[in-house]
Amino acid sequence: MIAASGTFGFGHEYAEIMDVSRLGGISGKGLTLSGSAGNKGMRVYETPSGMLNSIGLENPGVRHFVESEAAYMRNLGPAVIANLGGHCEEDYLEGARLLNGADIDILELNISCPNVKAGGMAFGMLPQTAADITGKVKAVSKHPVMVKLSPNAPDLVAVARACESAGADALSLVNTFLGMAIDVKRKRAGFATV
Amino acid sequence: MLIGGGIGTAPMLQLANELRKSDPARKIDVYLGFREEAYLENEFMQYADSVTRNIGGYVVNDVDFALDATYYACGPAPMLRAAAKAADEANASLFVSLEKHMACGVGACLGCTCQTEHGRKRVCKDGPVFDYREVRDAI
Repeated sequence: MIAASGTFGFGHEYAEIMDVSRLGGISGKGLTLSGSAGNKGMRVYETPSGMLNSIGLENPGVRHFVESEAAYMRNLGPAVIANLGGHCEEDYLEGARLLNGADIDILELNISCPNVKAGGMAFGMLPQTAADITGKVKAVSKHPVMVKLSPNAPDLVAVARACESAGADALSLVNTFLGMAIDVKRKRAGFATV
Repeated sequence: MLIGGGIGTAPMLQLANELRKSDPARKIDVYLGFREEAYLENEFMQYADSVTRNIGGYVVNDVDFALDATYYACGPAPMLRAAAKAADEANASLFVSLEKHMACGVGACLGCTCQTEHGRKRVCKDGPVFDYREVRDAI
């Protein structure tokens, strides 16, 4: 049983209210190279069939994780999984290099991030781009790489196979499904970011 | 001085209880604002020295912010903004209880953050009660 990235922070909050050592693993909040303040406005929105979230990858950055959170997570007991996202290939590779200095068990590669150098299309949408980033991170990382797939890919199976061929040690399914809620009273989308 | 607007009156009842318990001699005045129908007045009377209700109007207008008191407000954002403005003018000590859509409720998911003068804070874990000056941008 692994606590999914984004649901569990780095374990601090839940460690106060439950015995987290019973978990098999904790995947920490998704990290980006420089960190992020995340989205403004509303971040969770209830719909008749579930819940939408638009947190915006608020995170303290890879360096802060390596310096302050990795050791804390290790002490909790479960396998330590660091989730890494990026806006461009260079960010992923630098993030992976920095994570080499952390005592973690798995690097979970978040390929649902938009590639700002490819018009904002997520790395994980196409088999070629997914395989490309997987192979490059795999070449740099000393940790096993588990690729977290995007359910919004037109051909998820092809993406999965491509990541496997590119050297992924594991696959994680799945990242967030795309959705939108309309507030009919305010005549706009529920979230500030559409 | 406890100011509750609509369902914001609910947490004020426990606050009144705690304040009364911690100092039986303390003066507690409660102001409750409702759109249509009042509720919890009798319950508040167990702990408060006075309960003033306002139906259909602006409860903040009933409150004298120039007293030597600590003010607590919980209710819709426009009410909190009005209280903040009054507290500014009277240089009063005011605490506001914020509401945000929440997911985990324990501070892990970052779904309920608000903008404060010290950066983003989680309403569930770091709040929900804040000094009003800290959360001007959030109300």
